[in-house]
Amino acid sequence: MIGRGLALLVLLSLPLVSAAERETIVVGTKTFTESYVLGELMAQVLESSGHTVERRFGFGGTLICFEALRNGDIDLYPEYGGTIQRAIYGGLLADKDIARRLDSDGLRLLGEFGFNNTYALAMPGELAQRLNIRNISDLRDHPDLEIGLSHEFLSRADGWPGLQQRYGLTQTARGIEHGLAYQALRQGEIQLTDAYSTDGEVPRYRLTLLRDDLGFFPRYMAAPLVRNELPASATQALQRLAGILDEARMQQLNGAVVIEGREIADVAADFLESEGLLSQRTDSASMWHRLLRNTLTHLQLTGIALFLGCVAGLLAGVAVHRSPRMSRAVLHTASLIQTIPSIALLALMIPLLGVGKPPAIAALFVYSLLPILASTVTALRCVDPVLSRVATALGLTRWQQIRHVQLPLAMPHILSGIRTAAVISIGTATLAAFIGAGGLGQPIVTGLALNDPALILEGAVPAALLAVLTELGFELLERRLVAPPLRTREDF
Amino acid sequence: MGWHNVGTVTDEDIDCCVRFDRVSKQLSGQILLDDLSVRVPERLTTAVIGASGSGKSSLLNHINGLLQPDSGVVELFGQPLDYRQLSEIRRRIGYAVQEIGLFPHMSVAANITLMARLAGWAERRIDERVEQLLTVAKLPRELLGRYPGTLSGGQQQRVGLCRALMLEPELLLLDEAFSGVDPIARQDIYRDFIALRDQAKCTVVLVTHDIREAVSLAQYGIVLRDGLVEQAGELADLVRNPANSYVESLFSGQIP
Repeated sequence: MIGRGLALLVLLSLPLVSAAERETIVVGTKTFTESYVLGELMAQVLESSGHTVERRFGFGGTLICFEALRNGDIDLYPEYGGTIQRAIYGGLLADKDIARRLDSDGLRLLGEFGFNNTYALAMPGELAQRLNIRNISDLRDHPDLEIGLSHEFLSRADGWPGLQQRYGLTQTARGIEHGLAYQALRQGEIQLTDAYSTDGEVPRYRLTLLRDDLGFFPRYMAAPLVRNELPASATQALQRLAGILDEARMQQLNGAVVIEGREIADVAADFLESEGLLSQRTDSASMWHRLLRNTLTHLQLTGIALFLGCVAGLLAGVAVHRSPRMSRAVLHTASLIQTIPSIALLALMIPLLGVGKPPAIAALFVYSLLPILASTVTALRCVDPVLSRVATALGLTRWQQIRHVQLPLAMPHILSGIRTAAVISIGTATLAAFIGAGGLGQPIVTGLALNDPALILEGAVPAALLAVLTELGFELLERRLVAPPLRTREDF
Repeated sequence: MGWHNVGTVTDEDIDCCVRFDRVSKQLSGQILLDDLSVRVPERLTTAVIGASGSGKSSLLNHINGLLQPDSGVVELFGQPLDYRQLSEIRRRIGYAVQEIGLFPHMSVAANITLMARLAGWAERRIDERVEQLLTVAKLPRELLGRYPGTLSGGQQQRVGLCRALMLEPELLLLDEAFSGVDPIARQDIYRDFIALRDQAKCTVVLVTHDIREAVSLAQYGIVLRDGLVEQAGELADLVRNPANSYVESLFSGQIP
């Protein structure tokens, strides 16, 4: 039983190990369309020049993505000059100072793609006309506007807080997922949102971008941000992307994905082909391939976390169940941890464990602990004291009693705790994609960013199926681990 | 019954299996045993008799170390009880209680053989011993594969006795072990118990509040009241020469 569990753990850890000693170049992106498109362009150019590429797209936020790069979890991702200056290094630095700061982190920027994707405020054209709003400073006359802003913009120093201060704006803004903001604009739920000047939706939804008349937004020139140790052949290939995209072309590519709903890989390949940068099209991973990979990663994340949760939960439960005071203390602590929102817990793990699978596994482990620990302690405490007394009197040692009497009697209850933990883990693990752990959350995050319901379902449906299969699996497990008289249904 | 042939035993010259020397015990402010000294003779069946709350279960639980005395010494098999070696010592002591306490998740066979398997007995030795016990206890082999929950009360109690005797213990402790068996079946289980006991040739200490049971099964008696020994000695002697009116009233009208 324990041996089998260890074998399972080793098996589940294999992809973790192999990922560490890879030769492939890992391309990352953040969670918005343009980042995905640029990431795909870079990936295809690298593949076209003979490199093996792994795509780890959709890190939930600039700092998470940057941290992943600095830790070497990814080798490059598309970043914007203004973002590095303000959001990452938090101040106004001259270009050469930025280069020096990046270098001390082991990073550098390659040649800019050519367009400036600055932040902009967007509102429906008709509404802007009606209210006579052309410049951002005109917003001062409209304190009641419904403003919905992307979460990142809402909190960045070079986003809403700075803008409010510079322009003296008094409106309160609420957070909204950027991919949903345009829909909300169209349905009139919000009247103003932040946009990127290259968003494909701007022309499509007839939006007006307000003029930054006080010159608040810096220039956001996009470029590949790479680790210094990237091989020269790779940087040479990436340099071929320098200067080939202006704002209109970028809007076009973004629009092809968001509005026409085309596959990012196809859009990128078409563009590269038209620029003569693609010697041969690499087949993008099929949906089934993607599905399989995501599902395996998902199982790996939840499997390892659950295994560790079982080991720790059972050991701790067995250790404390005899003392009512210790039981209470442990249970209270565990339920306190459980109240931390899962996305916050994931984010809290980043300073400790970086990004990717380890912090996700750690967070899932912490979550699985409570149900397992609680059910173990409760079940052990509920064992008939007569049986414990008889077991003692017959001469069973403490460990023999636990092994042969208490644990088997507590098993149905413990199993249901593990089952709860497993189902919670499978659900929560979909959030792990935000910190670059992959899994079935990956298509959900991408789908949210691209406002693509099909992609969201590609993650949500298998995750739900996985949860159902887990339930069934536990019923089989119950039949193996629980003595017939203790089973819930079924006669013996 | 057996005790007619035992002859007179006095407190001093018996070989004792268990000896209490000035044992006192309090639990949550209640006095269970009060400076109690008593001996349990070897190879006999001793009944510990008393009303509920007289301390008879406490006395029993001191023998196998489930309770430890606040003061005084418990001697077992000629040596003071070593509380660091309890598991080993308890394997030389059988134990059966009113609630029976069969492990509900184990088959009858698993219940009976658990301790032997843990002690590393060979399979053949286990089989032979089980066969022997089943025969004497009049339990059909078919029961072995069943779970305790499907057995009658009398069958469960017999299985409990078989489990207690599996390791061929030198001492068997019974805590109201037959109180749960209905009166009609009781004579049968007494008879089968006596057969088991005589086959095992072990010392027995049985706690009971039922004088009829004590007289049916035991040769030696210890009468307890409020944690103190009222009288101890050969049962026939207790009946014939009660030390005081309490003992006399206990036995009055109980002689067959």
